[in-house]
Amino acid sequence: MKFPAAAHFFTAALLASVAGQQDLGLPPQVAGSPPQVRIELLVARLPEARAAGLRAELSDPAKSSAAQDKLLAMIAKKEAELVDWPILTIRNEQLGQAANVHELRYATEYENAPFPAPQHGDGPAKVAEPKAPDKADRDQPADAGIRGHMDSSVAPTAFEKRDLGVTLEAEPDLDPDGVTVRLNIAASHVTLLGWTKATTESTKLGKITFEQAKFQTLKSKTNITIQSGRPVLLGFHKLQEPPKTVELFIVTATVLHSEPKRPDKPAKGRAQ
Amino acid sequence: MNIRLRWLPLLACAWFACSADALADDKPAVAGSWQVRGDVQIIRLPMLRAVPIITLFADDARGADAELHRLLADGTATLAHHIIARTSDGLPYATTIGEHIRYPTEYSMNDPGTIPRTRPGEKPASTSTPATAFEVWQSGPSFEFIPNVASDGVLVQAVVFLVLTDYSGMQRFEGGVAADGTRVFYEQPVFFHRRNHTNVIVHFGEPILIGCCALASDRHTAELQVLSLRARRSDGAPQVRDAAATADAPNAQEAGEWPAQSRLETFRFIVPESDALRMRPALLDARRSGKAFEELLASVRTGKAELAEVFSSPGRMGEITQFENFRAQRFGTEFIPGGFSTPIIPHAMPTTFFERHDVGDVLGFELQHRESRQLGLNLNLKTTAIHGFNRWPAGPDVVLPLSPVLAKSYWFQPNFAESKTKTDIVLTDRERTLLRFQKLSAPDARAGRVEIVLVRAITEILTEKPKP
Repeated sequence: MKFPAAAHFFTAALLASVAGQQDLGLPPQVAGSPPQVRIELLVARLPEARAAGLRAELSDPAKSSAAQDKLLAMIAKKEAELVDWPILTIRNEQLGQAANVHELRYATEYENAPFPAPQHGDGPAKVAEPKAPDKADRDQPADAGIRGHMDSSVAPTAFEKRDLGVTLEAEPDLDPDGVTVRLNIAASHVTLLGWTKATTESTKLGKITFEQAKFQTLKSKTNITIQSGRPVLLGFHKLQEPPKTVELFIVTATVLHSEPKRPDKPAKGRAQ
Repeated sequence: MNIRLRWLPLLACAWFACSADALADDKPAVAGSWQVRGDVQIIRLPMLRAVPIITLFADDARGADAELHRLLADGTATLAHHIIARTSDGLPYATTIGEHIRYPTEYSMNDPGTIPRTRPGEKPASTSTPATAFEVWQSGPSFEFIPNVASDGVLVQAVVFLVLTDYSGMQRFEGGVAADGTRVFYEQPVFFHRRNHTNVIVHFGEPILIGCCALASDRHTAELQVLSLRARRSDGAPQVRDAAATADAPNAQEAGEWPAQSRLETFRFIVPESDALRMRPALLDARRSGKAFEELLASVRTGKAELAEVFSSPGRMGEITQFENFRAQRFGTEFIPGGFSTPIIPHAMPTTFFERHDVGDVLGFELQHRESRQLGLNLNLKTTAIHGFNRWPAGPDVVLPLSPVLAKSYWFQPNFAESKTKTDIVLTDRERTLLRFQKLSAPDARAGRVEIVLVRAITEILTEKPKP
């Protein structure tokens, strides 16, 4: 199959047009596959005092890129903490998801009367050996000397689970100008703060303490219009724990245009 | 020679019939049926030795296959399974090789007894509990495929479903205390699975890498699944495209190309945060991502980074390909209140029922469109891990008025982590794209490091003209 000279001319003209657009600082507008958008969500924690100055810069479109670089430098120097930085590359007008979560399973319903069991410390005790829970317990008989007689106990009959971590869901809608993106985005970060104790007393069983999980959810769900490649401050959350700390959500959407359509190379056997 | 000349008209007919439709459900126009033989070789070798071979399979499958066999000969690689499947064109073939592992899933709440052993020669647990319900799981390889031979007898399309299951023994869970004070254990089996469902087009006789992964039981070992297909006519007639016919065949380009088949490669690395942040700009730049990938591999060689998973799967346009590499993790979800009536020492609660949760990697994709070097696909990559068990007290804290300390029991629940990327993406042929950049956090033992996933698509254009 001969590739017509006209097609070569057309391709060359197209490439020239693309080059021209790049000179103007615009992304290439070319034929080929539909454009796609790379969405990055930078989640970082930093001291409240440092965050205030950064907030102003991140809110200024002209300074937001420099402010993000400043934040990355702080992370490199351990002055700020990188929580996560998920990426989602997705075609225009498609919904995508990136998640990085831990599943916390905990009991919500119990059977029978409470079992008289003295417990110490907060929350579940961690087991050192992940593969064999029995081994870890045998190796760490912290309460091995306790003896008594069992009258009744409780057993969990229902569990709930909660995903802890960062999730990003986004659907871009690219403007015809090729650089403006309307972004339908939902970003969240869920953490386990600890366990709260609720105590009740009865004459038969004495004092009973229930432990309930305490979660912290930071969530930003919005529709925003942003310029390609320019970081935008999506969320500025003051944390309960650790105190005097702020968590930032910074989103960047970069339009990725496909490269111009080129004639396929002659193929013999499998393409190389 | 005269015989060959007589076949020329038929050859011409076959050539014209050789279109995309000929590979679909319709039978080929050529009379007589094809007998197809499929060979699946499951080869294991060190991960870092496997990486260049995996990449080579996209460019030179025969060369990669030869290199694999050289490594087999010198003992670097081992042949885990070799499945030979024979069937007729268009007819399914299924084989299962292995053994049935029987194991309990439910237990009674009576005093501890013993459960039947599932495999002879295993060291019995000190004490175990009476089981009331059992399941059976098949270990070993299982292979199903349906070949569809193109009318020219050179290309074949095959639907492939390969499952590999390894039984690696029993995992013990503590579950209460017997009357004599000894601890009671439950045993649950540990299976490692690889499940590969794909749809490929290959030249007869040419090997194709239909899947690969890191072994879940040993992440430093890669497992490669190589398929090769051969065919002969059942009526004894010569193959339409014999050597002479091939030599006379028109140029492959003129004859047209077959529907695109593309290979998707994913590499999952675990990298220190500082390195990951430094390399991120290069990984996001299509012109530099290849070099960054090499740098990541170099970090793996020096032990600074970890190569956690490698997938390489071929798939056809419009067909769903899925590759799973996981371990079935079992854990108790139902417990007995009160447990055994015994003297109390701290113990895990008796468990009456176990559930399973798959821990590992799953890659699913569907090629949607191809235009020049751009390949659009729907992609779903999920990684599930287990980071130990949380030990929970059995019920609320209780302090009796007169007897402040009586007893203590607890139950376990697993800690699962999941990384997921679900997207519609356009990949440029042979360019590595940063798909995932996620920081690992506690309770993962690698907390603070960053998980990086690079994806690459390689379009394979098949022509009627076979390789010499």
